[in-house]
Amino acid sequence: MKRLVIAVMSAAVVAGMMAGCGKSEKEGAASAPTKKGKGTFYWVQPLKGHPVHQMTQIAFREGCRKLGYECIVVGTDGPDIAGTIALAEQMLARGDAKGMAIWTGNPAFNPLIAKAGKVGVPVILPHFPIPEGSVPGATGIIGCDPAAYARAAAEEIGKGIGGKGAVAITQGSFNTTENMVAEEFAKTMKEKYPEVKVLSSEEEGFEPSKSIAKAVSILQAHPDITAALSTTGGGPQTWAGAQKQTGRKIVAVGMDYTRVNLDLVKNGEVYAVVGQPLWEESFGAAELLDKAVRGEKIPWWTKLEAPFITKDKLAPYSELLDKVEAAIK
Amino acid sequence: MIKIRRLLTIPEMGILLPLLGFALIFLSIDHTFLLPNSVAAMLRAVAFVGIIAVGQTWLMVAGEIDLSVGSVAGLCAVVASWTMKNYGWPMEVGLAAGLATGALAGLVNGLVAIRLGIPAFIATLGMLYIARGFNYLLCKGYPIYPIPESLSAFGQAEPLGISWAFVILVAVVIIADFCLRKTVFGRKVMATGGNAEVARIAGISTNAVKINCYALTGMLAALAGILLMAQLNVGQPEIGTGWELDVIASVVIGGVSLFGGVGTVAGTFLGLIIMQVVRSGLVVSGVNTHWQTVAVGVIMIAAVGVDLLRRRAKKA
Repeated sequence: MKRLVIAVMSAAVVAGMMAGCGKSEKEGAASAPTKKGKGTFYWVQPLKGHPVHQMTQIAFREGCRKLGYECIVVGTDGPDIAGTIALAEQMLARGDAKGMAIWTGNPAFNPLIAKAGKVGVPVILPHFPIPEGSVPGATGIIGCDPAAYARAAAEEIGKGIGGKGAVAITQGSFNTTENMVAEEFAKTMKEKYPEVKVLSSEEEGFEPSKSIAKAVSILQAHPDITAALSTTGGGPQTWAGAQKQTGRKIVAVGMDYTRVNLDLVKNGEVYAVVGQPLWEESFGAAELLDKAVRGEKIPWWTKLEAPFITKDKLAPYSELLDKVEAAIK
Repeated sequence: MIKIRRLLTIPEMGILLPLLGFALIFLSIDHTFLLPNSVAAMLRAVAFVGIIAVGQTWLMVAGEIDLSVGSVAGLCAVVASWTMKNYGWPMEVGLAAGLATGALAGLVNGLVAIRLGIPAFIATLGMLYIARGFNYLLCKGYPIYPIPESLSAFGQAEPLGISWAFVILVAVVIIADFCLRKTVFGRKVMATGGNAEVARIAGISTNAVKINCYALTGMLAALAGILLMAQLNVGQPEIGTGWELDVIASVVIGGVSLFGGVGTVAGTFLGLIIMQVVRSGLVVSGVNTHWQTVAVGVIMIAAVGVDLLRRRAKKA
């Protein structure tokens, strides 16, 4: 009995502390809204604390603010698709949504998108290259074409290694977008640089020590590797670490302009990163929703560029990161 | 013949033999598999999980388990880098804060599991979430970067061609193995895990023993997280993700009983090496990446199965 009382009291104290420390109820599952104006746009995204996702949320909020809309971010802290859908459905049921931007390429969201479409809420899907007509209820998509940046990466890497040697490919996980990048990269490399051997794609995962160990094994198994492409944001760190551990020097390319990745490019540990237009596509999602609300017709795919960021092109991205970091602080 | 039989009765032989077998198989597939560079890379990779596995071995021998180790490692790496970068704390103080956070998390695990009587599985699963949550609260999901240069130089140095993390692992293994076998506290841990009731009657404070083991495991998790942070040169919030499963797998492959009372730190060390040899070996052998994951699971079960059969045969 005494233990039970202690347990209940402890739980009450913790709950009280959490309630006292929390700023508002909305900051848990759905973040605090920006100022009210023309109506509310929802940004639906699982894993909402992830740094890259935070950047997209800031960009979307910025878009909403400039266009005069309220913005609410909805999602779970973990990669919980079902939980995120449940939260978004709850928000949709409130009936105040003017538009929704949903960060997904997962068909599990299709019923939610269809529901939104039925009640006349426009839905924009940023980042993921989803074929037209495959998601009933969706208004359009915005983002770069992964196949295009995969081709560009193959050409740049091929040039960098003089069309000789072997190229490794690693993926964070096997999903539609990363698979597409890996396949298109391999295809282009074979077409443009037939002498280059393209190794089959390996999963590097997301935990740095395991990713590096995997890359080290790949380098050791293939002494002829001259370059590597990682299709994930942790890739630059993975391949920089593997080069350090094996003493090998290769042309390594990864994704995303995070601070760590830009510094790796700056220090010459990584040749380049592919700058997926995260800011532009998230900001642009708000603009497209606004157009849809005003009855303007929008194309299915608003295509954006994904630049290849080498040492000489770092400055604008460093400035963008300064802006994002200031917004987070 | 008698000598060979005696040799086979050494508990660690059940792990050493499959380890040698795997190494030879992969060596026959790829002659570069056991080159010094390759071995060094494998040893570097086991260091972090290995340090935690030492604590987990003690804990599991005492009849408890800690599922929060990976999250605690990540939290402590972030605490150490956060205090150094954001508050300008001296490196030693930042590192001490990280280690203290680990010890505290372990202590809380112990108090909740032992004093409040909440099953260890639930108590430490709760801590897994709490630690991960605090980690993201502190760093807001962003890597903390840069860390002091001297720390990063230490993390990236390669003594004996390997890493300081591995050297520390070896030291920890030797000390912990000796203590578990030869010291009074080590014997108390064994007795507590073997039969807590009998141990209590014999005058051992089994609760204190277990709580100490939890605190030790938490502190070793912190050490591992901090060492990886130093090697990466970044207080990365993802540090430690999924480590708990690797740690438990290594400990179990190493011959530690899930029911307590049986196991050695040396066995765990060999279990760790088996895991890494298999992982690296499958990549080096060119096995399809999806089959690699299947193979790791099958080999884990097989390794434990072989050890169980050997023990049963020994009893018979």
